[in-house]
Amino acid sequence: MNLQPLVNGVVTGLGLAILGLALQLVYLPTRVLFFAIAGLFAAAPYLMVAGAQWGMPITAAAAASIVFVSAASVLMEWVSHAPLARHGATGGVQLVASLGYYTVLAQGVSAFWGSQPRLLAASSEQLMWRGAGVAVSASQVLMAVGAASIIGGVIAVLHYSRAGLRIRALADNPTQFQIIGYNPWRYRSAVFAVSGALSGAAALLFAADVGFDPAAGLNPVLYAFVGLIVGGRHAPSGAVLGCLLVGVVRAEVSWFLSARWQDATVFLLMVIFLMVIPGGMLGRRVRLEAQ
Amino acid sequence: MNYALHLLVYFDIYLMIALSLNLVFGYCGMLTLAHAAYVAIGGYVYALVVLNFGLGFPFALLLAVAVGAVASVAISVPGWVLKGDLFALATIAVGMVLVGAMTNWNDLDAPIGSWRNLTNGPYGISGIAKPTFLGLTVRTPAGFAVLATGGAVIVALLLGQLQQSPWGRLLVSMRDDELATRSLGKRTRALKVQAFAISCGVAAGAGAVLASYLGFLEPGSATFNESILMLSVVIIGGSGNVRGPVTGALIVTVLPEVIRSFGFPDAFAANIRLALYGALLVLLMHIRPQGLLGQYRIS
Repeated sequence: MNLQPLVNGVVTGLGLAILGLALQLVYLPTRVLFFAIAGLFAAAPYLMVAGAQWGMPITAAAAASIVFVSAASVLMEWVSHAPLARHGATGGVQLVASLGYYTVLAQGVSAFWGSQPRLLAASSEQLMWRGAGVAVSASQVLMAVGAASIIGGVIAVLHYSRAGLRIRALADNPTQFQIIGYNPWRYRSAVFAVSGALSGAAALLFAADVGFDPAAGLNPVLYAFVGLIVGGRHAPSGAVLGCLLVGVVRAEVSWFLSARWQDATVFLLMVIFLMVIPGGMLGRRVRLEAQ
Repeated sequence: MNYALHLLVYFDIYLMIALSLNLVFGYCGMLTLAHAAYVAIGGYVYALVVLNFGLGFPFALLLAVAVGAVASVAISVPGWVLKGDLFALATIAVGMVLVGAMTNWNDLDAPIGSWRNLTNGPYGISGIAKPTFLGLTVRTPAGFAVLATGGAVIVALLLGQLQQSPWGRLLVSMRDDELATRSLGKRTRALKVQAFAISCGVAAGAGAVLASYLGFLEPGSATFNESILMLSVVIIGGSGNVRGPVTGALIVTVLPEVIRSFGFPDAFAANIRLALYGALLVLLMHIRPQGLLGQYRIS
């Protein structure tokens, strides 16, 4: 049995799972399909490179770019999503606004930095380990370790911290959350901040592995959406499981069939799940009026 | 003069696409992000039919419309069970599958248009024949302007009449309260299939006209970003009536010329144009969710 596609798929799936969590963190408490994450994802590596060109150490530049996209994410909440929610805007309105932000960000990145693909370093070519028929590159190790740490941290915060408990409470019942006396807008800003930071971190990990360009955000975010639907959008474990499955399916199709059909297969999987198991693998059945 | 006619052709094609999208978005309330794929399907069907069978424009156009209508089942059936955001996500997935097929259905060893090399993949199909009617070939910008304007007027009249008809009012009632419409004994699933078939058929027809005008077609014209652009036309101009899409089509035709007048380089101007559409989407959601001249507020 060839383990290489499985390893490749798991590594990519872990990267996608960061984005899946970023989307889910915003979606559950706010019901905003935060598509603008694709624009933040596109911007983060360019910001890091710009920081490095201004003389910042690479780690400081990476941190600064993550802080910057996180701030941009909160700004979108303050300027658009929160005011729209206060006026009773539906998910459709929020989605269109988020699509607008995505377009502005992706086109802005392209206008400022050009549309040519770039590489951060040749790290993807540095072989780190070979054995049992599997070769792992340095960038894959970085992606796997970085993503696993981030995912573990986010899930731990959500499950074991007071703030995580309140975010889950806001997601379950926003009205009761307010009645008890908590300020939902503060927690909404917090989830947008974390979501932006997660998308920035994911962008840097992907950029280290495969490079980046202004359109680089779209496909990973769409795959993360597929992961959310497949795994179940109501629990972080569902997002992680779904994104891992998407990563593995893409890698297996690419290895055993053809790389050209991996996107079509993944999106077909999403349509099938939406039609047959709309709640996803770890979804819970809810009453019709609660959907 | 030729450039003005070129703009008129583009306005007409945008208008046909916007009117078709208006039928499902403005009248059924279903936000679809796969429309660019259906425009491209029409273009490919036209190109392949003309290339392989040498059929005239009217037959090729009818076939493009028919294939677009049949392929619409891929998004109308998910619409039976999915609503709102989830339906929008499903249409993105369908669009990506269709673009994947257009990009990958190729084999360089096989002739273009054969079963093994149906779309010629990322290389696209070039040299698409110009429209021929009764032995006359449309080659000049003026000829294309007449053809596209005629098509746009027919589509506007047809869809305008449909939307004013009892069937159109049923669509509006389904959009406003699907459960109540079903409780009155109306078959909303059939309504969705019909609306999407007409919408995607018209979009495919517009794609056929566009392919015949440009003489070239490639999968890049069917991407998700193109679908966002098409949605922008309807959201900026407005939906739920005919004058909204007309306004939207006018704006997306004129805006690039305004940006061009500032003397920006082409690539930069394209980025600015798309970023402006994005900014308009955000702005309109705040100040006028029904668009500039529309009636339907997104729900």
